[in-house]
Amino acid sequence: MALSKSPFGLLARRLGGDAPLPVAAERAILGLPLIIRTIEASRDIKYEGGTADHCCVILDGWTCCYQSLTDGRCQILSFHVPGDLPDLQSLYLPSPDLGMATVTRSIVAFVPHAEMRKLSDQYPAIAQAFWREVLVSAATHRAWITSLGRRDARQKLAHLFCELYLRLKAVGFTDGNSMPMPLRQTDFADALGLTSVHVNRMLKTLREEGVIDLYARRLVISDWEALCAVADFNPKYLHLTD
Amino acid sequence: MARYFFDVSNGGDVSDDVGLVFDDAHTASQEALRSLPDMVKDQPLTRMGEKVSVTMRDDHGIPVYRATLTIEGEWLTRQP
Repeated sequence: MALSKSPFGLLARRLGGDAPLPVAAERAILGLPLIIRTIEASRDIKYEGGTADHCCVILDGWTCCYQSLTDGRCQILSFHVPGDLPDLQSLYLPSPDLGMATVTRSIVAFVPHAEMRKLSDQYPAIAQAFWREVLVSAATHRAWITSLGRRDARQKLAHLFCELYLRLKAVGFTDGNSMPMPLRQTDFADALGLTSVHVNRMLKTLREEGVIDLYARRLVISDWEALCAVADFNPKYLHLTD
Repeated sequence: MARYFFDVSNGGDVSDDVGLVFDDAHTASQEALRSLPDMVKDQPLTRMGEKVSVTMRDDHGIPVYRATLTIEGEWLTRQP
């Protein structure tokens, strides 16, 4: 199976970052033992025994990371799309400080920590790629903090759309100016610290402004420049490569 | 589970053609009420007595609940 078509093709490309990984490192990724599970929508992705001994790679579908308050309210911390490693931190912090859940039905590959460590010990390029992943994840959280703290609701939504579009585009899941949008208004509310009623209102505003359209679980970005302007979006923090 | 629509009035009127699904009318009304501070936070407060309201319609289009927030400010000395 060609690497680009394998479940780990996405991962190899992702870990490659600016420069493709050496062939031997790519082969090692392709040879990873993995458990692949299909998980239905809106389910928790749980670790057996409460401690992580695997890292997961999203192969298909959307997932999120979240933290809950005791009164039941939830803050979504990040959304994850194919190619993402949402819990790479568990390699060194196996006791989870956040929850992971599927948004849509997802295919998730679980790779044993021992194998991940072996990879990073044997291939410096992979060790560097893991570092890079964790740092980009931190950069993304920083951008979210700024958004949550300082953008108004319309700008927060626009910023999230810009981010998700570019991340999906990087893994080939966009179609021209449109992309799948499985998130519901309550998901936006939980990610952006807003009420769903206000999200509903702001989505209408963005539609009326001719910036986006949202139907049949797809987001159409009618005017990318305008969306970026609303969001005050600077894609640098994503550190994506073309 | 039922769909409710939330028309917003803050200066202009914006009617909702998408709606949101809630377990029951009470939960929906609570969300409407909690949305008011969100909305006020995003709008420039220029006039005194600025009012924001959300009218909730059921899936037959009948208004069933309205939440209103009024922002007021007044000088307690002579206005500088």
